[in-house]
Amino acid sequence: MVELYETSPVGAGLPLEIGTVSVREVQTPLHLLAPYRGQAVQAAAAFNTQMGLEWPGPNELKRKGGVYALWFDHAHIAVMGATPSTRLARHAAVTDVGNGWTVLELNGAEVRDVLARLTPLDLRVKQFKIGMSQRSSLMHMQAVTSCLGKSRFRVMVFRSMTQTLLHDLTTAMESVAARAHLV
Amino acid sequence: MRIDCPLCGTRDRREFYYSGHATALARPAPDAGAEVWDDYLHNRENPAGVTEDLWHHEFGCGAWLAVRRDTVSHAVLSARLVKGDQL
Repeated sequence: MVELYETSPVGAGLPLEIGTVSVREVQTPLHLLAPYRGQAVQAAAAFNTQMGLEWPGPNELKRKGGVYALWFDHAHIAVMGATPSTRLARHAAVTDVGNGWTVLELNGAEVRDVLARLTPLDLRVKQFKIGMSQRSSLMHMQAVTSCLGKSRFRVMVFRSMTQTLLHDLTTAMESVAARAHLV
Repeated sequence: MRIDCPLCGTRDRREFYYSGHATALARPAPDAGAEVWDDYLHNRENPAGVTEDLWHHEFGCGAWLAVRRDTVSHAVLSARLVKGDQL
């Protein structure tokens, strides 16, 4: 049996700090849950029992300690930070996608200004609130953007697009930082 | 232009992919006859006014939406999930 080593999708590019915003990689277990047809209620109940978390509705993120459950799309939720119990497989398809996505955490006063340059989402504090997770585009990438704090976000894209994401983030962070010197 | 996705909320048009008139949802019976099938596949109204189209929320929730809009005023009137329709 060949020994497989887990490797970071990012490599040496992170952490990164430009202006007031910093970016770091989050390495975490990541699973998708898709209820079987007609099993949405049972799946949500089993999820609550097993994980101690509510099933997130559209644009929602539920958190308990280091475990996050986030609404992923019209058919899926995602679980980060813990491996879901196999008992959930009775009501939902559970898929390990941990090696398919890149998760980055962005922190800093101007994080909303940086993201506003990359996505059409409304990033105002009153619109993109703490505890929300929204699907949208990030430049040309299909992304998941989650708000964990007023100035703290997580961004997820397909692993194969990691370098593009870093390039786009760097460009946006540099231009936001450059404007600080003009005011 | 913005579309009110029933799941995601009001979103920019850039997140959606357009896929023609909602006629596609009214699929005829297999034995409906050549004329009905020809009409279903090829003939479309081109109204000056309210029409209903299919849009895929490809950068959002991934759901298919039926969106009513006005081709004259460009107003987007409503959007509903196609999921559950008889396809």
